[in-house]
Amino acid sequence: MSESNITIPVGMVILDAAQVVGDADFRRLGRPFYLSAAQRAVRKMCMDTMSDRHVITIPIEGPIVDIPAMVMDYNGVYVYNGTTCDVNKSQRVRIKKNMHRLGGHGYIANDKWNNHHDPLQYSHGTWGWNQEPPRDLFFAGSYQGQLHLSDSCLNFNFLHVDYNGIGVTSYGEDFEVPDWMREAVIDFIILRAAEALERQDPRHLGQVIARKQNEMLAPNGSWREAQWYVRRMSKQKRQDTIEMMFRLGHA
Amino acid sequence: MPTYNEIISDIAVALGFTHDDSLLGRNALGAIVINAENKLSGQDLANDLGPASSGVAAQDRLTTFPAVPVIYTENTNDVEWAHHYVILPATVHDIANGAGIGFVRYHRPSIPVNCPPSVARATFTQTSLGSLSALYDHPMQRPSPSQPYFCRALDNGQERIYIFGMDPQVSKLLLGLYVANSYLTVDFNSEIRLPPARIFDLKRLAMQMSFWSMTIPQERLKNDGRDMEPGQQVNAPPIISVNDPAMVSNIPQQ
Repeated sequence: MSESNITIPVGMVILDAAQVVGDADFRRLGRPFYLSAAQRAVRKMCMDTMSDRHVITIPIEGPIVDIPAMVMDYNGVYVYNGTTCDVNKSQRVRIKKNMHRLGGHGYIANDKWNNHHDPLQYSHGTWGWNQEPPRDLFFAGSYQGQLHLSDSCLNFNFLHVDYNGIGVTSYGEDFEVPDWMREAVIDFIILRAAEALERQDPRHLGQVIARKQNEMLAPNGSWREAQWYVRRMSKQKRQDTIEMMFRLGHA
Repeated sequence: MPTYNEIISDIAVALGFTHDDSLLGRNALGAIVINAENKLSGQDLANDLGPASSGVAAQDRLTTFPAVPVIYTENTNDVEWAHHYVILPATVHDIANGAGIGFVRYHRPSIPVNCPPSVARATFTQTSLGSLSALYDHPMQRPSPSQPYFCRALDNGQERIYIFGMDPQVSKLLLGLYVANSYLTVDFNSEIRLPPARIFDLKRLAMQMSFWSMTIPQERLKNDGRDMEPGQQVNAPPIISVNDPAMVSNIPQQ
């Protein structure tokens, strides 16, 4: 089901939840509370399942590129030449740990390929100890929401990032909720709202909280079911997996 | 439904307050009836708007005030936020969680032309002035034209509703209030707006308050009772149940 493109407005799920706790007019907790709870639910589900996948294309104008998106994980980083529509040449970029630049020439890293001044660390390369990284090796450091590109990446026009997000692209506005997580998100909001309202009606809402905690934790609860929905393979995906494993090789 | 005058007459006759120099005149009885009515309707509203109710039952007591003018105050410093305020057009019932204000909405015919439809149907959220700082720090709950907030406050004795997050061009709002009756504005010939089942409670509550005036010593020479005749009984209020409407709090108890 991870191919699902069905989404529903967040207004649908927060009203479904508010009706259960008797707050359909949002008078007790306010609509922003429910909106925030829905965003927390979607974010948690996206973190649990890595299902909120996006791509972004950014012009390379310098060695340090700010990633203007809410990125949780990178699925792939690429550089390419061309336009925002046409791709002429593209290369995969490896994320290099501990690498960062200061904005100008050169970079700082533990392993700089040419490590011949470090007696405890080998250098890389076939033709001697003083060799610089190959020109066709493209790498970047990931640092505080930025990508610090290697010199080899600077020969390209665009940076293309495939990443997992947290379900929303900006805060404070209505958003769409993937349909497969609908029941789980509703139960999550009900739980948070019931906890917030519990003092007003502890006898009733205490039972609601117990039921919804079960939905969050039980193997057949709505939260686990949603995770199963998104992870199960469609027939297309099963066939493709067989072909990738036995004919095409690595995806 | 009986009118205020009919209830006042009932009480006046029952207590013997019909003559000109009676302890309580009709106006004083009218004030007592209005106070009793406000207490009873406040109790009903607290139940109908309480946690165990959907609020639907209270809607027949909601008064709408269309096109209430709002005043914009721009603050350019970081200490206060730009806000609008409305002078509360009527006295509202004091109900838990600020439920006396039923709703605040954009007045659609007068919203600025650049406002998208999603803003026009935004829900206003009630909060307190003390909560605003935290709300402005919360990216998802920050006041904005699509999620405006309002809160009540007194300013030099004037009851106001402050609104945060609205577009400065907004000049009117639609208010829904649970209005409490006022002695100054009520017409004694109008019908009392209480459910029929509550008329008995209203009469009894008003009678109790009126009867209280008869228990006050009058033209006594001393206020410690030494001028009383030997064995003279002092009027005392009747013993009433803890479930009597006079004793019941207007805040629903769980």
